[in-house]
Amino acid sequence: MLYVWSKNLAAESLMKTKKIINENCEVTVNLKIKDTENTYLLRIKNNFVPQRFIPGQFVMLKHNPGSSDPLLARPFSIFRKFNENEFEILYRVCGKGTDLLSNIKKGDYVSVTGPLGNGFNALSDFQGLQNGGSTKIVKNIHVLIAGGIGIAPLFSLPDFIKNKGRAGNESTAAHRVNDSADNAAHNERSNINTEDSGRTPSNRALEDCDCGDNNKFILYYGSKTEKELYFRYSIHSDYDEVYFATDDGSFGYKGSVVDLLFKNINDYCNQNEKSTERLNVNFYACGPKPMLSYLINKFRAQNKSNMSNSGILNEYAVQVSLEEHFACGIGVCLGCVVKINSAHSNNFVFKRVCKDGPVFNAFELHDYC
Amino acid sequence: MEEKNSQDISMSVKLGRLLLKYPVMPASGTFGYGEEFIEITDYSLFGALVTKGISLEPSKGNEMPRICETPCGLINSIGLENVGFEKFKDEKIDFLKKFNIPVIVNFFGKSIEDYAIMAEKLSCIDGISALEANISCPNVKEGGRAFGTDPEIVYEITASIKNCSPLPLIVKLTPLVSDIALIAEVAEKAGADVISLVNTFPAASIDINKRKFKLSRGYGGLSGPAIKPIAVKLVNDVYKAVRIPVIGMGGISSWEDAVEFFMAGATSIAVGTGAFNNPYLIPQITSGIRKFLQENNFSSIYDIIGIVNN
Ligand SMILES: Cc1cc2nc3c(=O)[nH]c(=O)nc-3n(C[C@H](O)[C@H](O)[C@H](O)COP(=O)(O)OP(=O)(O)OC[C@H]3O[C@@H](n4cnc5c(N)ncnc54)[C@H](O)[C@@H]3O)c2cc1C
Ligand SMILES: Cc1cc2nc3c(=O)[nH]c(=O)nc-3n(C[C@H](O)[C@H](O)[C@H](O)COP(=O)(O)O)c2cc1C
Ligand code: FES
Repeated sequence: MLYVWSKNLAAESLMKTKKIINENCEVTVNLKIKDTENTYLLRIKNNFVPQRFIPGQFVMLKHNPGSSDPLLARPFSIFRKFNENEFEILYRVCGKGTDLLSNIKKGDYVSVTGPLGNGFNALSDFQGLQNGGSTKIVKNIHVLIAGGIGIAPLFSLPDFIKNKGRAGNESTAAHRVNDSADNAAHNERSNINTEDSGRTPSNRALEDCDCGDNNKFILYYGSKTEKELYFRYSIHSDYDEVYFATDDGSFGYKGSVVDLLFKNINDYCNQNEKSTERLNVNFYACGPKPMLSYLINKFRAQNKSNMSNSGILNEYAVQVSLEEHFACGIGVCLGCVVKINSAHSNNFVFKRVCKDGPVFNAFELHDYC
Repeated sequence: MEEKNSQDISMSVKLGRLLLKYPVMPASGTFGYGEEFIEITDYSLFGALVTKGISLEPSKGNEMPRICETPCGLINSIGLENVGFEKFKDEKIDFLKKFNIPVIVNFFGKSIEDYAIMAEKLSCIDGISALEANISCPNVKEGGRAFGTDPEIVYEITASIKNCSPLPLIVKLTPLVSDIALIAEVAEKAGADVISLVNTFPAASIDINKRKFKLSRGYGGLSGPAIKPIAVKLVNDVYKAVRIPVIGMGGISSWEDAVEFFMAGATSIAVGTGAFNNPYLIPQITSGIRKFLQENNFSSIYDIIGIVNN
C-alpha cells in the first residue's frame, strides 16, 4: 500500500518538476555581427526556451552533439526571444569551442539544455533603497550595467520587466494563464530567497501600481573599444537613458563604465525627502570579472559612506551575473562554485554559479575578486 | 510483436543481495543527491541512484578552479565537497527514497576508523540499499597516499566496514595501482559484496602562458572518454580475478561503450561525465542495450557479461 502511494507521489513530482529541456535544435541563423571583431548572433529553433526563460538564465550549448572533442557543452546567456519558436544567443569567439560554433551553418543541429540558472530577480518591490514613507508613489529605476559581451543576459530585461508590469495590471484570466509559467518560476524563486532572508515575498508593487509608467530604464554600457559595444546605434530604443564608455575613448566616455556610473550615483541613491515619489532603485550588472569586482567594491564603499543618511542600498539592490567554467551546468558536479558570505559567521559557504546563480546579490559575495 | 520481444529480455541484475531492475546507474559525484537531474529526465530507467561521496563532517572542498577540459576528458579536483552525514540524513535521503529505486550511498573517510563509523551511522538510516566505499581518497595519517593503493589497508577498511554494517558493500577501487587484480581479491576476501571501478586517474594540465597548473590544487582526477580503454582493461582484470560482481565505469558515453564494459565482465555500469552533455544518457543506454540484446538474440544481459573470456 505504502509502496503504491509513494510511487504515485514520485510520478506526480516528476511531471511537475520538468522545467528544463535537452534537445538537438536546428540553427536558423549564425551570423557575424556587423562592425564587430568576432561576435556572432546564433538563432535556434526551439519553442520551450523562448517562452519560459527569465533574463539572466542561460543554456548549455554543444555544437557537436554526441562528439567528444571538445567534450563539454558551453554556457551562453539567453540573449532574447526572437519569436515563440526561436531564441538567440550572442557570443564572442574566444577559444576552441566558440570558434567551432562560429562555423556552424544554418540547418545544422546543436544540442541545447536549458533554460538553466536563476536569472535576474525582476520583482522589484523588495529591492532598492531601504527607507521610505509608505504613502509615497514608488518610482522604479532599473540601472543596467554591461561590460562588452555582458550585455547578453541583460538585453531582454527591460522588456521582461515591462511585460511583467502589464501582466500584473491585466485582470483578464487569459493573460494570467499565458504568464503563469513565468510567474510560477518567479514565485518559486522569491520563496527560496525568503527562506534565506526572512523577507516576505509579494507582488504588491506589480499589482497595485501602473508599473509601465513607473519604470525607468537606464543603461551603462562599457567595453575596451567601440567595436565591442554591440548594437550601440540601436540600443537606445529600450531605455530612457544610455551612457557609453570605452577604455580607449573610441566611443563615449573614456574610461571605466563603473566610474561613469559613479559620477551619477547620487541621482539614484539619494532620496529627496520633499518629493512625492519614493525611489526604488535596482542595479543589474554583467561583465568581465575585474569590472564586476570594481563595481562591487565601489558599491560597498558607497554604502559605507552613506551609513548616516537615507541613501543606503539594501542587500538586494545590486544583482550581478557571474561567470565560471562549467562542466555540467545543472548543479551536480560542484565545479563552478563562488564564495558567499555565511549567514552565521564571518566565514563563507560555496554556492554553485550554475544552479544557485549565475545571478547573485552583490553584497552577499565573499571577497569577490 | 517486436515490442513484446524486447520486453521479454531480462535486464535485471543482482549485485550481491541487491537486485537492480536495470544494470545502469549514475556514477558518484556526477549526480549530486538526485535533486537536479529530475528537472530534466525521469529516473524510471535507472537501475539505482548513487549519491555524491559523504563524510562524517561537511566538507567545503577545494578552491577554484576545480575543473578543466582536456582532449576527450575532464580533470576535476572538487575536493570531495559534501554536506556531511547529519545534513544528508536530515535533508537529502528523503528525496532519494521517493523513487522506489535502490539508493547507493557513496562515502569516504580520513582514517580507517572514519569508514567504520560512517558505515555504522549510514546503516541506521532508512532508505539506503547499499554502501559504496570510495577508497581513492588520501589516507591523511599515512602521509596522504590513497587508501586503495595498499592491499593491507584495503583489507582492513573492507573488513571493518563489514563489521559495522549489514548493508551490501561496494568497494570502489582506485585505478592507479600496479596490480588491480590483487587489490580486488583482497577486498573480496575481506567481505566486499561488489567491486566498482574505475575512479578517476590522477592527472594535471598546465596553462603555458600563465606557467601554472590550471587547477588550484595542481592535480585532479581525469574522467570521460579519454580513460575508457584503460577502464575496460581494468574491469576485465578484476572480472577475471574475483567471483563477486563488478560495476564498470569510466568514459561511458553511449550504449555501445556500455556493452563493451559488460563484455569485459561488468554486471552493471555507471555513467558520470557522459551525462553532463546528455542528461538522457542513462535511459538511452538502458534502451540501447536492450535493443542490442534483442537484435543479437540474447535473452538476458547475463548472456554477454564477460563474453570475451568465455
Ligand atoms: C552563465 C554564463 C553565461 C555566459 N554567456 C555568454 C554569452 O552570452 N556570450 C558569450 O560570448 N559568452 C558567454 N559566456 C562565456 C562562454 O561560456 C565562454 O566564452 C565559452 O565557454 C568559451 O568556450 P571556448 O571553448 O571558446 O573557450 P576555451 O578554449 O574553453 O577558453 C578560451 C578562453 O576563455 C576563457 N573561458 C572559458 N570558459 C569560460 C567561462 N565559462 N567563463 C569565463 N571565461 C571562460 C578561458 O579561460 C580561456 O581564456 C557565459 C558563461 C557563463 C558561465
Ligand atoms: C565532478 C566529479 C566528481 C566526482 N566525485 C566522486 C565522489 O564523490 N566519489 C567517488 O567515488 N567518485 C567520484 N567521481 C568519480 C566518478 O564516480 C567516476 O568513477 C569517474 O568519473 C569515471 O567515470 P566517467 O568517466 O563516466 O565520469 C567523481 C567524478 C567527477 C567527474
Ligand atoms: S557546472 Fe557543475 S555544478 Fe555548476
